[in-house]
Amino acid sequence: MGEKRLITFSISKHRFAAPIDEIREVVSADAVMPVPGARRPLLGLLPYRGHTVLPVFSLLDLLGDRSGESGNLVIVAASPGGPVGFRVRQMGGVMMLSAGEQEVVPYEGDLGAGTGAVTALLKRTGGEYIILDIGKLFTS
Amino acid sequence: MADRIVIVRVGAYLLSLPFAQIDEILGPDRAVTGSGVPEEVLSRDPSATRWISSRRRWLPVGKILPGQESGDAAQIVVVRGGGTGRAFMVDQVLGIESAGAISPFPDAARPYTDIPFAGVRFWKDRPVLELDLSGLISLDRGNRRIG
Repeated sequence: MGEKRLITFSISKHRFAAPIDEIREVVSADAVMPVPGARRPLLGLLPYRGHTVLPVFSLLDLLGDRSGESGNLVIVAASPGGPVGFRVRQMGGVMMLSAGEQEVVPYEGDLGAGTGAVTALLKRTGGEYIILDIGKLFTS
Repeated sequence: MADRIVIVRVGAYLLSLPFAQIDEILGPDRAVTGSGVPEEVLSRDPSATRWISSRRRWLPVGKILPGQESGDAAQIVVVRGGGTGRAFMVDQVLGIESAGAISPFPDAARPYTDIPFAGVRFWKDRPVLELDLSGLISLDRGNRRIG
C-alpha cells in the first residue's frame, strides 16, 4: 500500500481526517431543510445537484457524542446507500499519509465505540486527528 | 412526467400529498365532536376527539405530525390509502399543482424519523417532502390502538 491523502476538518473540539476518496465535496449548510419529526443524528435534508436531496447528519452524534455542535459547512461523503452530509465547523486541509507511518497510533478514546468508524489517531505537529472510515457509519 | 400534488402547510413545514389519493378538502367547520356522531362510530375509535362525515362514512380526524396543534386547523384533507380512508388536519392548503418526478427519501435518513415520507418533490425550486399516505393512515390507526 502506498500513500493515502486525507482531508481534515474540525467539529466542536475534535479534529478529524478522512480518506479523500470518501469525500465528494464541501458545500454551504445554509439550505439544510429540517425534517418534521426527525431525531438526531439526522439534522435535515440538503438539495443536492438538481432535483435530489441528501441527508445531513451530526457526525458527533453518530459517533456517540451527544454534546451537539453546529457549523456552516457540510461535507458530502460517499456511503453505501448514497451520498450523505455531515455538518462541520471548519475545514482543515489535505494531508498525505504514508504506509507504516509512525505517527499513526491506535485511537483509545470513546468516540465511535462499536461502530468501527474510527480507525486510528494521527499525531502530527500542531495536533491530533481522528481518522475515520465514513462508510462504516452506515453499515452497522 | 408531471404528477399532480396538493401542497399543504402544517406548522412550519410544507408537505405534498399525491392528488390521486385525495378524496376531499373540507373546511374545519365540517368536523364535529362527540355529539352528532353515531354511537357505533364513537365506540369503534374511542380515542378520536373529532370526526368528519365524508361520502356517507364517518372518519376520525387525525394529526399528520407529532405535536401538531389541533385547535385551529384551517382545513381538513380526506385521503385514502391501503383500502381505507382517513382525515387529517392541516393549517393551510397552498394549491393543487403539477410537479416533477418524485425523488426517493434517502434510505440513510429513514431510521431517524417515524413519519412515512414517500420522497421529495421540488416545488417552485424548493424541496417539499411528500407523505406516504398509506403509511400515514396505517401509523394513525396504530397510534389510536396504542392510545
